[in-house]
Amino acid sequence: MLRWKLILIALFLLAHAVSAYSLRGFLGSTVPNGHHITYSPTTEVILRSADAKYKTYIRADGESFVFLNVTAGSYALSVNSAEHLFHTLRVDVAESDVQVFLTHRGNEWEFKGPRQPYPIELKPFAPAVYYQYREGFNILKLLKNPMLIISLLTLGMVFVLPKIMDSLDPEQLKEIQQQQAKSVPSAIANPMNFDVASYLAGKSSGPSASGSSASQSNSAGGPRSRKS
Amino acid sequence: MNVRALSLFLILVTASFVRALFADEAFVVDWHIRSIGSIYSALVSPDSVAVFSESSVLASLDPINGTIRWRHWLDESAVPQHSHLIRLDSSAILLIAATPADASITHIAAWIEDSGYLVWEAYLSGGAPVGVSVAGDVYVLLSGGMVQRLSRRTGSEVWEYSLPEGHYPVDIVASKQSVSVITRKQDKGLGYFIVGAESGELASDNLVVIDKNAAAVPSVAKTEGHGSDIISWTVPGEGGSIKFANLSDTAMSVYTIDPKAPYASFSLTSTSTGIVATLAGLDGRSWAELYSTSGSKLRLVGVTSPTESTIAVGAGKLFEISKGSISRLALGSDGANVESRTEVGLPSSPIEFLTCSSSACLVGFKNGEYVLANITGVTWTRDESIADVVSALFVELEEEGESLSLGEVLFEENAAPLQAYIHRVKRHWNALAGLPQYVVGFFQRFMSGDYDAVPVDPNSTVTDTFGFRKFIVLATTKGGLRALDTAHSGAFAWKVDDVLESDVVVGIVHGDAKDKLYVVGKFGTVAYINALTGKIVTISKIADFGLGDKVESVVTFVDDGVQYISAWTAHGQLHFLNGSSPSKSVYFSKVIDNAVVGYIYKEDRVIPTWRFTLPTSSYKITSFASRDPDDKTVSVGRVLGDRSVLYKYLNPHILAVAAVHEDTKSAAVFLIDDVSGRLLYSSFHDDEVVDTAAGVKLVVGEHWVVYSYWSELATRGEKLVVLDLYESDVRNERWSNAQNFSSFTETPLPFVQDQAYLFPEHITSLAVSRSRFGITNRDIIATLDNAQIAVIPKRLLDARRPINRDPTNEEKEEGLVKYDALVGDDKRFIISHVFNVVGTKKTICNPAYLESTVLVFAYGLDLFFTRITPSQPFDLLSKSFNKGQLLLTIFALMVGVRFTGPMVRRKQLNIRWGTQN
Repeated sequence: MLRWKLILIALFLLAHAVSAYSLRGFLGSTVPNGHHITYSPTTEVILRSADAKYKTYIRADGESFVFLNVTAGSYALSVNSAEHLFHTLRVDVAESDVQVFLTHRGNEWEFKGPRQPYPIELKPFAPAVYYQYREGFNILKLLKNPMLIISLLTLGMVFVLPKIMDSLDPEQLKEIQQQQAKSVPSAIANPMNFDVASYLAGKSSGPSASGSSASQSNSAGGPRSRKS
Repeated sequence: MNVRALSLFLILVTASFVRALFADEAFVVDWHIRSIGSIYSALVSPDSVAVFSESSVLASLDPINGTIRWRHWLDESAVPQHSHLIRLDSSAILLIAATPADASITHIAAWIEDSGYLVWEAYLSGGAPVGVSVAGDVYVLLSGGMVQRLSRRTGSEVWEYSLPEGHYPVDIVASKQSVSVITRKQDKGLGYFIVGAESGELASDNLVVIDKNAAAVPSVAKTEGHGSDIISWTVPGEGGSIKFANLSDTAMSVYTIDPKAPYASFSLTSTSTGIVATLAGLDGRSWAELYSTSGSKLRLVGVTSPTESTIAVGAGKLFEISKGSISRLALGSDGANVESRTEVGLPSSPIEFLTCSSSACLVGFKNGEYVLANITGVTWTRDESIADVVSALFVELEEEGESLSLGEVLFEENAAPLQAYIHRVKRHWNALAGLPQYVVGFFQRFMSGDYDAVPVDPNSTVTDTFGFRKFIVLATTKGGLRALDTAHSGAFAWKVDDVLESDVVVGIVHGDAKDKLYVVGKFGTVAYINALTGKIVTISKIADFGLGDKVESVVTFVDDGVQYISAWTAHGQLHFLNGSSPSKSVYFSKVIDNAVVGYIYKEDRVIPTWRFTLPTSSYKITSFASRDPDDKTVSVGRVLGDRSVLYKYLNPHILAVAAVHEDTKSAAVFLIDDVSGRLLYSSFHDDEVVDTAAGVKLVVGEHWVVYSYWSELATRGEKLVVLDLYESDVRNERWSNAQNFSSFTETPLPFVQDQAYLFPEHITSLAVSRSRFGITNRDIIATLDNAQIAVIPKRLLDARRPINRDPTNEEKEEGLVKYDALVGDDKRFIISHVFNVVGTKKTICNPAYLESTVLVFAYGLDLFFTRITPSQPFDLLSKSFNKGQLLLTIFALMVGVRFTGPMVRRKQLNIRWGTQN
């Protein structure tokens, strides 16, 4: 590996000496989570402008690339890799120097992103994910479901509540029942003609009155009037 | 729209945009066949077979099984016609090739043979490579007359030498000490200069003349190795004499061979026993002649008898390859002796390519097959004809249970009752043989809940339960047909070579019966074949085919439910292939000479009716498309959120034509009615810098057109434009009242809603999915130049998506989401996942029996097949469905009921009795 690196360094220097329009760079091989990436030999690096396209491959060290004979211009540099995703870079090649910028897709080409160092260093920002995965049966996940917890709790109450009621003495029971009768609106106690809208609106009118007013407003703005 | 369709529609509208291939379905529902194309040059060694193909693919093949170890598609940087594939050292190979633009630049690259990594590359200006020689370092002779020495380690230039004026470069032979540059000059003839390998300067100023009369020789053949470098040539007008010179020989004698018989081609090789000339005669027979050289004398040692077989020299040994055997010969003064002979089955097609090494021969046949054969037999066979497909189509297989033929049904219906009864009992008795297999299959399927649990027999022509198994028939440029089995990773179901008897296949099309195909040739040959077996039913020439006429394409018409198949020729003739021609007038259009011409066929004559020319002659038509006639429409309108309807413009005659303007770098798209020639819509992209070389890619769907092009302005990228066509911009307004759309009624122009999106990759072609009944949503299938294939839901490319605001409730009901210019960033849209599907040219779709599922096949260099479900697999039980879990739940419920039942009963009883316990 070291031998290749030496050769490549020599090559960089030579390439640079021969033509000012050689671009060099490498794909970062350590990603944030500490893994070391080896790029496959089919990883292509592409430099493209309106009228030119250059394609090169990853060198034997598994990370570096060199573009030779590049004419001056403004290029987009992208990496074709089946395994990793890379940002596209803007590479401006001029007589004297090379400037590299990040690009933001969907923006005008003149809108340059942050300046990047040269030689180009391009790190994959994510592995390519092509698949979706099926969720298998998981008892823990099932138990974490809030709906299930609620239903289990109610089920428990069904069994537990009568027991608690039983353990109370009859006078206390009567007191609780009276309190409940007071606090619960009569509408809930009589669910047949309960008007949800007026209950939510905070109207405390009696069930019969609220029921008739609701039906009146319905006939005023409801679909029936629209038909006529 | 019936009720079932409506309920399905509701399911489909609620389906989400993002979906992907399930990890457990990858490599199961899809397959990929990698190809290299016709081999241009090869290096055969015991450890590897390196090849460079006419499709510009450099690859290394496994010598044991022939699989591709690695390959690179050097599409734009290497032209095979000016290429040299040569070994650099034991671990690396070298490819020297001209770059395509004008072949003025040579690209040279060294690759590690095992892994495919690039070691170094260099660009040499000075023309195409004429000759290459490796002697430690690399010596390249360019067509501009330059010789360059490149370092074998880095590819950097060591020195450069230019030939004197007037000398044309012919070839180069290098050794450690000196480099012989062979040239030709009008007054000097064929000769060579000696250049010092170290200095890069002429060792002596004089041209060493080899042959004074050979000034007009365009090229010489060179064979290096075995301690001697031989160049050979023939001089026109000197009879059939072959001249050769040994460059390693200091005396530089020129020898002349007069072969025993007239020959078509020859090759000379230096071996340990002498110089072997292998010759192919004018009558197709070949032979070999062995000569020994001593001083300036040439002596014929031995000669083999002419044979139908092919003769080649590999690593100093003489091989004879025939249809049935491969032999190694020892040629001596007593003629040829067979050293060893192995019976092998080789294709019967003529040999077109042959490279031998000491270990094996790589033999290429005219039918596109390549065989690596050694003296013990055939090691492997690769079929590369599928790398170059002219036309492809899906063929439906028989349905299971179709064992009862039509003839049998008729017999049982019409025969005397007793006879019919006996026939039926017999038939059932015969069917009993399949019972055990059926029972086993039934239980397997029941236990696993998986229809794939019972594999389909690869040799049968019966489809599977859901119609996923079909044949794909490919017509290749090699003149053969190949049928691929979609259920068995694209294995060949059958193959036919040279189906049209040396005519060139133009197209294949379904015949009147669903299992029959017409294969149409350029020079008027038509074969009618059985698509399930590949058997040729009939083969004939088109009657009254014009002299010098050529078939350009196959045109089909459907008139009153009858299908008419015809061949359209360069002379503007229509030849109907299935005997009958339509009685009524039929209309069609063709793109000819950068214009669209409409024709009418009536009373056996083709009459041009209209002509659509582009606004200026600088526009060049790059592509055109029309709607698939088999595509179905379930609803004529689009229901909006407020229950009003926008009626779709369902004109089946829309022809979309795309053109680019080379000078202004702009693009234009025109929608034409191809019966009346009326221009329905046009759109110009003038203020953009369009990549005119890539052109515009087009697809026409139900009532919409989607096209894409790469441009530099306003933002750089691939633009994907959608045109949704409605009958009117007024809701609930409809012009076409009949079921069928007529191009002759004066309907107003369509109301077109358009929208553009940005796609991250370069698109090379577009296609649209087609389901069985057209209820399922449509997906746009895009092949990308990074060797992947993506799907884009058409629903995502909706021109009605609200811009810069959230959708209203009504719009949400329509399934619209807020407009976002960027589409396709998610890699889960890539249906080819990790496959590298190189060089795709076209995608075709075919529905499965299930409405949800569409079979997709892409071809070009590689072949790729998968199935997609644009609206989720709503009619298929999911793989994650757990039968055991369901049974367990039911069991748990039963247990629960069993326990709680008595409890509830006791409680109710207690309440009635008024007791608490």
